[in-house]
Amino acid sequence: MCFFLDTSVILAQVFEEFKARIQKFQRDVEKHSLKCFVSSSVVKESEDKLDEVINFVGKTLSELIVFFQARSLSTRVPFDKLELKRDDVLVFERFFMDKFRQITAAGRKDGFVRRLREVEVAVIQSFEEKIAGKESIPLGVLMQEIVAEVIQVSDVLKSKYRHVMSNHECIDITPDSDLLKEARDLGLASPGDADHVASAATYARREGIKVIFVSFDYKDIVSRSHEIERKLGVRCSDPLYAVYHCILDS
Amino acid sequence: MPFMTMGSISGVPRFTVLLEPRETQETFKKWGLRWRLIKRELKPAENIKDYLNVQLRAIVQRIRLPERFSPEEIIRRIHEHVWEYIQKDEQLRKLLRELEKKKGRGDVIKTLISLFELIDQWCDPQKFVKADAVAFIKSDLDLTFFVENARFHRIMKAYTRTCLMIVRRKAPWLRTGRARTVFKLFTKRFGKLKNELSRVLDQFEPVLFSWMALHIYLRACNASTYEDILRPKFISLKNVEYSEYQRLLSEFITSLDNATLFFMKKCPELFTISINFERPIARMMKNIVLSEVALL
Repeated sequence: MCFFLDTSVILAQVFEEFKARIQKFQRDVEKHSLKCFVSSSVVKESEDKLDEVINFVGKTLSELIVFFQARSLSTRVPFDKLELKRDDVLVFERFFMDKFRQITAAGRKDGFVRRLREVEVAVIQSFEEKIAGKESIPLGVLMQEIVAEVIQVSDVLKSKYRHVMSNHECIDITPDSDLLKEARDLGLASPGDADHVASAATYARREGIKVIFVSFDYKDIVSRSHEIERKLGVRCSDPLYAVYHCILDS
Repeated sequence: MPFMTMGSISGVPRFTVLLEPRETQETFKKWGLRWRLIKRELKPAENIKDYLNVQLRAIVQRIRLPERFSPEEIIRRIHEHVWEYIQKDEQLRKLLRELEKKKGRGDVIKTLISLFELIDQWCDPQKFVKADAVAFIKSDLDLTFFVENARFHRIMKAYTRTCLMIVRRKAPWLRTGRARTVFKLFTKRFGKLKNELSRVLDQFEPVLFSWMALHIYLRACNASTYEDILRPKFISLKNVEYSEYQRLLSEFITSLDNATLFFMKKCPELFTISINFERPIARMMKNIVLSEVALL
């Protein structure tokens, strides 16, 4: 009997979300000496997700710098000398407005709009923080400080991710093609979800043991546990109850 | 401190690990008596200047450089640049000269401790992040490149701390009464110190070399003259051969991941830092990632 962890559980640990549930799950695993695996597809998705978000933020900041550079050309003030005053917040508004327009015109998904909104909030709050009590702030300094903080936070997140992963056993699995097809036919929303659940099912079938797939994703996975178990033979559970699915059935 | 000098110097402790203990005896007559003078030395494998050259050669040889540059000339120029920097830095110059000259009289260990302390002092991840933020603005590289760079600086910090811990803990063993008089015991204890340092260096060097290789490659691709390599202006991926860049980058990340696992056990405090998710940037990262894995 063993557990397979979903990306949502790994990233919740990195971002210190649902701490109480995760700590309880970790105590349960230790108490009952149960094995806890992370499939290669979850490792890949978690790493890719972090990198993708970091690069999205980086790209948006680069575009913002280019936007200001163009403005410095039109105002004939060199970029290095460009000073931002409090009312320049409206320049940021124009930049983000243009970006939203582009995204909508290109028919991009909601996810991008949400991402951009989060970047917008962070940039404006950082600007307000740094200009507080001052007449103006050099644009170069502001952008350097924002980028430095993004690098710092991302570096710590990646270190935390490595630390979280060092507590679990990673297992390289190629999902069985039939099981993968079954998982896809179930219509698991994200392409990764089908891979993760099928990897756990492949392991369960190969080793002839019971596997519980532990996830925080209620929308697509936990709430569909019965359906997934019927088709793939893997039960899905929130970390809070995961141990009971193991011990009560055995 | 320029990155090439920082990188080169952090590899120098290997030079000390290559030292071999050697005991020589000299008999002479004085005041009508026969005296026996026992000299104990740690013989260096070569001098530091040559060692830096060997190290650079090992790094440059793993890169497929643009045809306009000769690897030999690049090695010569970087070596010259690093050596010039060392000569200008009085503290560093003195330390390296001592490391060479003392040839392991018991107090070479003291010099080694000073060298690690100096590297530890230079290695300020906060300062490096600021420089990387400027470099990001002056390049078209992905931000993850600079995040991996920051991870490397954390590893470098963990490396100097681990080495300092080992040397400080083991150095007194070499000075105890018995180790001072019994050469066999001294050799055994010095061997243990060397082995422990070697294990740390074995983990650090692959990351250091792949990190330097990647940076030298990027600089060379974005330079039209040898001088430009040492003073880059704008780093663009448009000027690199993408497959070579990817090869060097993945080599760097793989060695970084391996070293992280090793140093995480040695200096856990450097890898388990808490983040204040109330700060705008950290909150933004959290909100984006968690919403995309159905956690929000």
